[in-house]
Amino acid sequence: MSPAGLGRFLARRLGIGAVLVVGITLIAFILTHLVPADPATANLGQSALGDPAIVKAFYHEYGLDKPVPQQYVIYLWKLLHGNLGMSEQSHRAVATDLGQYVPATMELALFAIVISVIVGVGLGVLAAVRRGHPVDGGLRVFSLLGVSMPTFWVALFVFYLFFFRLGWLPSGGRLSPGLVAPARVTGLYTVDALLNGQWPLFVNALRHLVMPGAVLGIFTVGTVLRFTRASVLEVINNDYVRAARAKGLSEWTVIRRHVMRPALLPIATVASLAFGSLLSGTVLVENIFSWPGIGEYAYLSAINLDLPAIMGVSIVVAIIYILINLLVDLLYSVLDPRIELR
Amino acid sequence: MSANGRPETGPATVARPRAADSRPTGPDNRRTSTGSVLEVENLSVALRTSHGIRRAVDGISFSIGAGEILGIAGESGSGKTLTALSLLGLLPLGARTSGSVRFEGRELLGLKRRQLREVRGKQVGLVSQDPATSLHPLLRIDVQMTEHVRAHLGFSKDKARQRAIEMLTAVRIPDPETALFAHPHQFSGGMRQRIAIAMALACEPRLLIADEPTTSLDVTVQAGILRLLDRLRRERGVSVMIITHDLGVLSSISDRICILYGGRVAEYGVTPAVLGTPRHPYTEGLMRSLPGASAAGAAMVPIQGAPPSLDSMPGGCAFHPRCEWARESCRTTVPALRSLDDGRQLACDVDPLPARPAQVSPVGRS
Repeated sequence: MSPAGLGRFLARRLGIGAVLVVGITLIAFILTHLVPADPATANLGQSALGDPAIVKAFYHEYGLDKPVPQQYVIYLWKLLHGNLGMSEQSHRAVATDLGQYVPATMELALFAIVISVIVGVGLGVLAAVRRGHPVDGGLRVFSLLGVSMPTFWVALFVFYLFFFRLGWLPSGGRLSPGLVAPARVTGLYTVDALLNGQWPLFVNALRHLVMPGAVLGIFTVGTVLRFTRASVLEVINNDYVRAARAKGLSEWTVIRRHVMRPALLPIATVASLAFGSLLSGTVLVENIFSWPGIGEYAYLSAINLDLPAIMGVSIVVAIIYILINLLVDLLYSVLDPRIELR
Repeated sequence: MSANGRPETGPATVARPRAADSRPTGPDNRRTSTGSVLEVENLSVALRTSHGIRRAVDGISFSIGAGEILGIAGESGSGKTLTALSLLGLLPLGARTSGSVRFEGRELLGLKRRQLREVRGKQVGLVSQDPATSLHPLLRIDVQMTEHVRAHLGFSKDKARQRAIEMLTAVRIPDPETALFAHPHQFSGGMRQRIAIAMALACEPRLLIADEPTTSLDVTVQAGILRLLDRLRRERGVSVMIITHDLGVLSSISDRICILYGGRVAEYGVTPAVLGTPRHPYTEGLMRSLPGASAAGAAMVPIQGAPPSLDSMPGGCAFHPRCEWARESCRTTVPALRSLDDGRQLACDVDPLPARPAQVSPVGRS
């Protein structure tokens, strides 16, 4: 693929992405206004609600007294200028809130997806190579458990075991109390701590990541394991794998170079889908482990009918999805030279 | 029986000098002067099927001399591909082999995986049926052409690449330097098979096993691949074992030919003799079913019925249900493989075959 071709592809896809984001704001906007509830009820106190003047002022403050189509146009206009509006519950700019919470969630989600894809692919290959062997059977049970155990139950279990019983891991939060977050570069504490050379801080942040990351990732491990096993088994009987063996290559080389390359194609798709479900899983996991992320923020804004915040979260999640899909398509063309980016 | 056979050996003995003329280095001479590269004795392959364990290859023996081309022919299910795979230990899981496979005097059956890897690719090259599936679709040609050279011969990246260019030139790939940086889907079927052959030859093995190397290719391309194999064995002295169901392919280039049926050897001998005057009803049937091989004007006649499956192997001679000359004894007794006067081996008790009105014309090297 020529650089110019790649440039055209990226421009096209990012253009489509922008249209998609606008479409998603429309859907989110309609959905939030369809909900038969009153933001004033959710955000104002009992006595304030009794005073029509205060309720009116509230409506005026957030632009809710205008017709809905006009509200949407105003919202889009502000969005174009990077203004996501004010949150009705935190009374801060939604952009500020997102800037604080999104990196926390990204750190957790990226940690979970990277670890679970590595573990899932590794175990999946092992199961495929040892198919029919007890190892294979054990791994299949494990993957079944991984995909069928409810997240809240796993969360409570590991919480009980590793925090309460064994005391190996901290109970929640991103850092131990009293520690100061590293100077912000990416907003991911582990990465920033490393960039600043603060080794003990890195270890502390990593220890806080382990439990929520594992709970969040266990479903993905199970899914990736099963798809990897199936994908490897499909590839391993191909003529070209036999041809590689006939060339006298070591089994490791055959698996690594000749089997994994084509087997990774479907796994990339599964992993990208898993990342989506993993993001929705953050709502629960962040709640349990007091992780100050976007999942927790989305939950609070939803129950409080904080419209600007809900819109902001929707846009962020949409952008993440669009970027992940773009990344997978790029990965496909890297893995398979026959695929042309268009 | 042999007394009856005398008149029939007439044409065969006539055919032999002709063969010797056209081939200055006759296969038999070559064998005695340089010895065999590969000697297969009493090779059996048992597979586990849903009905139990079945012998797909049942005690076959053959040998290949240095620089010789041996053709192994038979319909699908005759055990020819399993034979080839068993030589390199590439059989599917659960398959069991017995007998003996000696490559340059070294027993291959029962070798440890590490030792087997030393033979694979380095001393014996394998070319598979369909280059569209046997070349890795996602790996560049240079990776596929050099990885085993580097592993077996310890070549540096540059040296291995030089070897790859040399091999691609030998199989007449135009512009080999550029070809190295391409992927398989950028080549035509014939070019891919040439690349596959170059790949199999890259470590300069002594034996090349070609499993139906021309089956998936156009007829015109087929001829090119066959000429290539013939030239490679002359120039490089590599022995070739060609597995095919197409006797037309073998008639033009193989020195000797081994016809398999139901996992056993039906007929085995010098190509012009076996194809010119077939003595086994199956060989004769294969020749008659070959377009253009029969006498001018004679219609091509297919063999009736279908080859037996592993689970329904007939008793006695496996071919008897399809054989028009089958006798009562053929149903009960497996015919022994015996040597005839012209050096061929034959497993048929109906000998000589009754004459036909429209005789099969001898097919030799053209």
